[in-house]
Amino acid sequence: MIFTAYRLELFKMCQRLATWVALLCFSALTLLMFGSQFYGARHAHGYFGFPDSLPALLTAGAPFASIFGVVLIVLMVCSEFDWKTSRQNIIDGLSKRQWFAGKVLLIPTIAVVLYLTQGAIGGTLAFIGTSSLNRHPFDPTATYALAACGVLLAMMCYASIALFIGLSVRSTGPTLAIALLYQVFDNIAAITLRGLRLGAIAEWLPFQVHSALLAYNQYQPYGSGARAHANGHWSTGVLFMAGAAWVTVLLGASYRVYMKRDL
Amino acid sequence: MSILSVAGLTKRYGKLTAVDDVTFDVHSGQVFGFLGPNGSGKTTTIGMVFGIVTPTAGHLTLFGSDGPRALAQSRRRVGGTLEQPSLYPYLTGRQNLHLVAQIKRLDDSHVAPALKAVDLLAAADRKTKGYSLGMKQRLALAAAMLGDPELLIFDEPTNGLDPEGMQEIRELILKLSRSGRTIVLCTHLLAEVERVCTHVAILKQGRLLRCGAVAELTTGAPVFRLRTDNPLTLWEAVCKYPPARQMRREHEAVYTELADSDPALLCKYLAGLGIYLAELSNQRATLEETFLRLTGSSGAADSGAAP
Repeated sequence: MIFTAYRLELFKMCQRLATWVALLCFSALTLLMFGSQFYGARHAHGYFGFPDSLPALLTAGAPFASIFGVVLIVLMVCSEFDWKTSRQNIIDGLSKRQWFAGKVLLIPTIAVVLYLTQGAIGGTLAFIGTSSLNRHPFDPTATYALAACGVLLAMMCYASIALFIGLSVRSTGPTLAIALLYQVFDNIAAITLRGLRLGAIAEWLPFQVHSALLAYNQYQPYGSGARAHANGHWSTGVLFMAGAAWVTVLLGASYRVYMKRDL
Repeated sequence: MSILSVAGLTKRYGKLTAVDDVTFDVHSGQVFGFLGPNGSGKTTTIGMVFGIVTPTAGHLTLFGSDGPRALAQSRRRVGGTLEQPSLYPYLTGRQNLHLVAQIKRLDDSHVAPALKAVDLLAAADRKTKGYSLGMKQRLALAAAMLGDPELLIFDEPTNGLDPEGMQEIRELILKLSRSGRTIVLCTHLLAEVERVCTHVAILKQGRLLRCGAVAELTTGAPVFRLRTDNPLTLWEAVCKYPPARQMRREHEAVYTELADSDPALLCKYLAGLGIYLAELSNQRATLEETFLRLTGSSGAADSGAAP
């Protein structure tokens, strides 16, 4: 039945115009971002192609993707409370657990769709721009794979924050505002903690972990110059665990909030 | 056979008691009206039956099952709506029913007959955001009926409808009732209960005031209307008549209930005093009178002017 709930969520998402508008806006922004790099490289005798642009393709657009992921999750969750379809679904026979599972499964789905869209647009431009000139060696495949996983985890982390806020607030407008402003609050909290010489704690805040996960340098091999400039002092394994832990905690808190409150 | 049994059901929100120790039974084949003014706790009670509101106290049995797991299974045999129709506005009527069919594990072959039953086949492929309120109510009813549930619960299904729309919904409910389904109908419209329901529970401020067959409530104690040329003498005589109860004067007439329910004895008594009646008639108490007597208020519920 959880698979049915997930299938219904996909159906609802695909049938909704707002989804396609959001995806179109996201694609346009991605095209603008990579397009400007592509044309900038052409006019300034630079290079936008494989393999040099792979780090940018993997991580540079991820903050956008994270934000659009949040928007889509909020639209898919909070509208159900605005239209009271969340409780009607339960009256019709879905259990609260199944309804929640359907929404949770949307998180990785949305993250993958946005990331693939970004990859397809950037990748196409990079493919066009690829030439035999100015080529640098490829990074190890593991670096690219880890960067892609890190970005997906970061997107899921931010979307989980949005899910938690959405299930607590249950209204689209306020949830979007709080979720998008959350990164400001998180950054202010981190600055304050660092000011109090509690920088070690600040690094563990959800959005700080999210930002660290988006940094390509983080995934480069130890000993390379770039690795030294990575955010904070995370080892990749610990960073992944921190990201996964936040996703788990936030989904657990969302589940508790949703199950405890009447519809 | 009791399909829905509720005992001591209570819901508190902090200091506010929305539903206070409500007990009633709904039996197979009944059209059970849940009558009360707005804010009387009808929707909260039904929310608890649907499992979307957690009771603070009390016991609920559905199709003989109780306990969370068994109730969850039994709720699959229940269909219904709560408050206004809850539909996805960006989906068509057909797509909305497709979603409900999927949830109820039915294939799409059930969708078209359900749309036809509520006369929405022609508008099935239009987005529901363009539907009138009446069409939305009908679609919600169709969704509730999908899968042929044994118990149907409708919360204010005629809310906001024009008289014609109200009549259509009532006829649909009566049709469902005639097909043997058990129906619980929440409403604040007295006329709706009188026209559609076989049984009624009257709620006020979360408390159950009365529960029983509509016929019993409206024909409880007969009220007699008496009239003579001299109403003052008649009033004084009736007041002294021992079986007379709940006497009142209105214009030229005197109204009274009789403990012995025998108007012939009253006539004989009055004739003995030299009072000859110009009119003696049995006034059937309407549900509205019963409701107002029980709730002790006027205008708490609407008489529901309808065709």
